Amino acid sequence: MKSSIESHFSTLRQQAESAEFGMWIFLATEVLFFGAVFCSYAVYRASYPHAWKAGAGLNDAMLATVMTAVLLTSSLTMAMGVQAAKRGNSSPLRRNVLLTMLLGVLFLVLKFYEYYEHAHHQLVPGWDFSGYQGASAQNVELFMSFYFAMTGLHALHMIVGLGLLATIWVMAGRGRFDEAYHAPVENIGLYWHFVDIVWIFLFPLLYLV
Amino acid sequence: MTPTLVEPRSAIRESYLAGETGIWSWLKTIDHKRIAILYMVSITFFFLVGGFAALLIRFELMTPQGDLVDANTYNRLFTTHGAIMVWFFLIPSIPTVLGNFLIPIMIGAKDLAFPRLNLLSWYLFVTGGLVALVALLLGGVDTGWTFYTPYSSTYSNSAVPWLVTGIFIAGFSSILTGLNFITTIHTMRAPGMGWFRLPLFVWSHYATSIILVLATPVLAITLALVALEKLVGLGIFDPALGGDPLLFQHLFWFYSHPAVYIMILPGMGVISELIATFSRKTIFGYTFVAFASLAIALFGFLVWGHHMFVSGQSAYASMVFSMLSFFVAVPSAVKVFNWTATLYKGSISFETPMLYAIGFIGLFTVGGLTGLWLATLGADVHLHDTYFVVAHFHYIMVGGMVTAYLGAIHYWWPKISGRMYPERLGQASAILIFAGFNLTFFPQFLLGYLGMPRRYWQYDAHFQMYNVMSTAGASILGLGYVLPLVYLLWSFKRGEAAPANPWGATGLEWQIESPPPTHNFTTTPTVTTRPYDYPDARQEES
Amino acid sequence: MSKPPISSTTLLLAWIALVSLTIATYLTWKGSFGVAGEAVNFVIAIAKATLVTVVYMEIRKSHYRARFAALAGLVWMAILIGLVASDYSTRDWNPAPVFWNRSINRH
Repeated sequence: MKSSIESHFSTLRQQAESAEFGMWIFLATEVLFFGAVFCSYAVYRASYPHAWKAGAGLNDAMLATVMTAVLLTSSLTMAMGVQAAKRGNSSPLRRNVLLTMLLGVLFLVLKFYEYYEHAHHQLVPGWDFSGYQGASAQNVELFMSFYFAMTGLHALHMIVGLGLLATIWVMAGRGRFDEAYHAPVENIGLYWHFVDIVWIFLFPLLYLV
Repeated sequence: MTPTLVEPRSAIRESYLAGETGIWSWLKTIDHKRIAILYMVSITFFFLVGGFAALLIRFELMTPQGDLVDANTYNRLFTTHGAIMVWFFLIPSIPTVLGNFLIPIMIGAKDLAFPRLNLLSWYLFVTGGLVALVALLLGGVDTGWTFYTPYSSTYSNSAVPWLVTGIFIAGFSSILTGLNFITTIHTMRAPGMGWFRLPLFVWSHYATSIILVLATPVLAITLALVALEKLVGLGIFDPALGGDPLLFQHLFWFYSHPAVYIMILPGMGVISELIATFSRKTIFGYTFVAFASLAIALFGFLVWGHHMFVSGQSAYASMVFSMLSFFVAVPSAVKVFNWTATLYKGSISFETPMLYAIGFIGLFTVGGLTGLWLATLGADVHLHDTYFVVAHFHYIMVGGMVTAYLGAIHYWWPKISGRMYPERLGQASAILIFAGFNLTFFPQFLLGYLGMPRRYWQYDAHFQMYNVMSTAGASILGLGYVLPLVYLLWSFKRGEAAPANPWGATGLEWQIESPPPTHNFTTTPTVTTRPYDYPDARQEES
Repeated sequence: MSKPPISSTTLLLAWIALVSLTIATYLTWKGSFGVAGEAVNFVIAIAKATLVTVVYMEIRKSHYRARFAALAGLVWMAILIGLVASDYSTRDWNPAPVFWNRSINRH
């Protein structure tokens, strides 16, 4: 049994419960972080329904459906990684974490492909938005501002998540986790699932109007 | 390590100040007490920066003409003053210095739940502060601390993105501190330390942390969107794209109104401790005071629209916000009445901390009641953006929070430093600050009532008398702040050694040595009594 | 936090449900049902988020205070959106809505 308990805690259970609770508070913070953007989105969507429909039409719903499936699958592998960690099985843990990372990278590749397409079609607000010539172009540009702000923020969280997963992968390789101590794996899992949930909402809001 | 001659009290355990010394041992410390000291040094620095800007503002306003600085510089001065004081002094002040130092000890823990995260918070804070200072070096920002769009996002030529980035980074420091406190209070309490045995200082920090955690992210993302709008043209608030600048105000005040309670709740926690100690009585209506903190934290989120009564916000929303604003007065008044009731028939003594506490009650009451004028729709139309508002919030922030902070620093100074401060000088500076404060800010109520607008470098000649009074008061106030800075530093080296419990107070922090040993408690204490267990409480129970 | 691991079958079933719901969302959009379709898609998103929270994040097995934290995040987001909406939904009420005038005229 490795001494994974820090000196200021009296029991490993207290340490693990603190870590879990801390993570949930952080996720509550994240809810408000994204919540402010969702709130702004709602205000404008109510004001400019037609522009929102036109804006969403500029995005590829089929591609987004595939991306959603990729991300949901990464949540599955993450959950299986946590399951392995709880059982103290190091190699399935590493395998699943690696799979999660690969799926995450695949998602980001698709995301950046999408950005590239938008740039190619001159649909980037603030830079070149001449690609859209339909009605109420300003409001459509506002929609696309949301598209880039929201997906960009989400992608940033994915990148942070990939870094965290890499850390877990290395730690697991060094045999840092066992049946008793695996709070970091569970916490990174919670974070990863949360980022997934954000996308679950972005998908209908930005692609399926 | 070389053995040293030790005094009896440190014979058993080494104080947190001894042990490893040298700058590096401080910069990588994860001891909550040392981190508190790091914060104390940093926020004192920022207080001096913000205070210097305030002094220049007051000197400019001594005469009706713009003679000391021009309009442009003046705008940058009040922005610097506001932004630095709010985010780099007031918000961190009591929580990060005294909260960090005391919460683990008060609940009988060895440290906060996440000591490394705590150090990270400090580094984030300092990084944010340095980025904000870069903004000042690049010529400052002229938008006011509120960064209203579209001025901040489109028209201002100043270093808005830098300052906004600095605040964004410092915001994460706030979030992590709040997260750490909430977790610590939930999971690290010593055996027997039930929720209703917590000192009220801890309750008020719990309420503060809730606001830190739930409001700060909204500010962070909002300021990030402003920066993105300015830098890369994502026009979320841009009227040219159909965006609504008022939406920025909604999001900004969703944070910044509750932030006012971040700035006052910890002060209220301090006052509860001071009043009980120096009247030798258990606090009157403990449960009410504890829940009033939570109620203020909750209601504080429902009232932000009262900053937007004249902005073009729907008049009907304004009515709702106005009514909700009045509700905040209830828990605030509960606190004031309970403190007063605690004083009743107490054996009161007037050491320096108590002078600050008494001053707080008076100044907070004035600040709070004038807030009700501003929450009244009709009155606010007249008073909005006048010096009345400036006076009102300075009564809360300076008369309230800074007074409480100084009271707290004096009260816990023997514990923090292991030395006593000079009592007479302390009392003198407390009185000086009270007098200087009122002379500075009371005339501003009159100025605002008479219609002098805020944020202008020139004014109509007939306002001059009150402005001269205000500037004179600010000079006294400035002297009052420099005094403690000098004698506290002096006493840190030369002061008389402090006993473990110089005030005869209750609470776990007074049961251990001054200054406390690194791990606070050798064996985890078991709590068997309610807080503020003074003789009067024991009589009642028997 | 010493919760037993969940079975692989449960994890897989949840994944099948999530992917099916994603496809359902896409089909709803393809069918162009207008506002009704959007509403359905939003409900589906909530269902998916609930699935992830309950099965993958194991919220029902976590400590009550973790659930409180999650709930607080949602409640505070509701406060933000609700009070912002109170402004935007009533901004055009000038002059006062007809039903207000009616009640005044009765006197």
